[in-house]
Amino acid sequence: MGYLECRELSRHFGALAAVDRVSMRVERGEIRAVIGPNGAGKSTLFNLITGFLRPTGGDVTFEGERLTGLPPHLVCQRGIARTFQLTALFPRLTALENVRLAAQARRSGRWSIAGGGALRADTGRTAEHWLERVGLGPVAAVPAGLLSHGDQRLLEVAMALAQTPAVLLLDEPTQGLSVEETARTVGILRELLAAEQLTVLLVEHDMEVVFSLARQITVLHQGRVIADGPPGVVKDDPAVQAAYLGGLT
Amino acid sequence: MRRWPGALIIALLLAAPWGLPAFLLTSLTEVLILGLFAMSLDLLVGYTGLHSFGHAASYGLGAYAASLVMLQWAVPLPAAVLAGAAFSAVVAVPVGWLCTRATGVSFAMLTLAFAQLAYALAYKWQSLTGGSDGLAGVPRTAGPFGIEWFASRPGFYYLVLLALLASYAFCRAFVRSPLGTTLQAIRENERKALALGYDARACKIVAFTVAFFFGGLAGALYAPFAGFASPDLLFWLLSGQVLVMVIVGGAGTLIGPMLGAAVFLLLEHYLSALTDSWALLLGLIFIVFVIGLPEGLWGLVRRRQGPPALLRLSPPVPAPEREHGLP
Repeated sequence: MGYLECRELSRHFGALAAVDRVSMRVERGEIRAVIGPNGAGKSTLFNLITGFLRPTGGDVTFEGERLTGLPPHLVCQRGIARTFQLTALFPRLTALENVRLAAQARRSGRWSIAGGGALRADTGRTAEHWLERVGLGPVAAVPAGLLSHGDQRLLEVAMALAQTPAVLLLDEPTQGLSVEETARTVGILRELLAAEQLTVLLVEHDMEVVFSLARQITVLHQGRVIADGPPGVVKDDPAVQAAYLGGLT
Repeated sequence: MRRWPGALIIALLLAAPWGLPAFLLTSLTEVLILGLFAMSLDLLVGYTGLHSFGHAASYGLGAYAASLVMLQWAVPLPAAVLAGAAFSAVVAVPVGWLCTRATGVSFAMLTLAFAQLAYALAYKWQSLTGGSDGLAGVPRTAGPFGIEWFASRPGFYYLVLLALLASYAFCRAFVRSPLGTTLQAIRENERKALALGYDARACKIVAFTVAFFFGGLAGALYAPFAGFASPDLLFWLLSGQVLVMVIVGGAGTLIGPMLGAAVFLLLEHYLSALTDSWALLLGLIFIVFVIGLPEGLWGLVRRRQGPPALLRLSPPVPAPEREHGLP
């Protein structure tokens, strides 16, 4: 059994099968990318795994336990952290407070309605650490909404990492970035993923990013898995090439 | 150094009974009560991003509950006031549970509906609430051993001041607590808060309950202040007025709404002496405020003092810069 596993996972919107009987396994410590043309169902798949959407069929399990049907906050409490395709932050709070809130979210003291000084200090240190790791130390006191788009993407990654997740789900971390920003982000991600031995599921559009980060690739097309394997194998798969050419015309 | 203005204001408030004529002390007492009421709504509007349009419910519930326990069972005033606040908070749990099923305008409409429901109840339940006449002759019941320092005009003023200062101290700690900071995260981006693992709905219900406790506390102080509790204390007009106080004073600052309450009462007092159509003038002034000063009066004061500190609601942030340009 896989660490994180989807079995026959489906989601229909009316007659459209956005995700159609997708089975996929992510092993512990693996970095897997989900790729596919626009509308292949990648983001829907993410939303199904994280509880933002309910599947119309199939199951998601993590360490053998079902995640299906759990609301998003409980999926996260099991140790599955995600980022969003469209940057999701707390814009009027500082970068540091954004990450601190992420660190606080999985601590038992998060419910206290007064005090919490020790928790604040502790999560503050965690936040500083992760801001430094993604290179945002200098902008810690800047409201997140004022950061550049590239810094905002990295801030989201820092927030996910501050949760010490068992599995990290990255939804197009280089979405909307310039060539230079993409290179910087990929560099930072590579370094982090190598150092932290994380289990990562990555949705990405940019093939260069995928091939430089992922060791396993699942290809979706029209909601279905059409190929699965290491980058070298997937790249040469005729079905994949057809899907991409078909998807682009 | 930055604590000086606060200490000065507290000192002035403590000295007020010696320096002010009786009618002004009464007005100041009312300002403090409404300030407490406005501050409690700020927990929802400013910190949680929940725009309640039915906060008069908390005020009225607190007022009626405190009045009834004093009239029926002669409960001492301080205990009755706390009972009023507690009653309001208890009602807030199921009401908050229902209202937080909705967001945005629907949430506002639900809170309004519940407040109007409470208004209708108070109006119709003649035997308990006195109907449209309300409960008259609400006493300031003395405690055991003849403790009754709070029954006099200055004594009651000090009781209100004590309640306000204690409430402010608690609310300040509350908005900086783990849960309080979570509320601000929910205000900023509820979806993200959920994705981080926060149970946003439960947090909002807690915020609703705490806001109702302090709103109820204000109402419970108002009834023995005015000597009556009437259905007007539950009416939507008051819900709207307290929302105006919060917005004019500065949402998300705790202090601002108290300032807003003071300005509101001051304007109401002076404008109503000038003209019969004072409500129109008041409305115009508030429109100017909202358009010209979206961060409120307290925001204006803060801006002069320097950049906003961590976690304080800062001025609206422009769209993120995209220096490198998107394709």
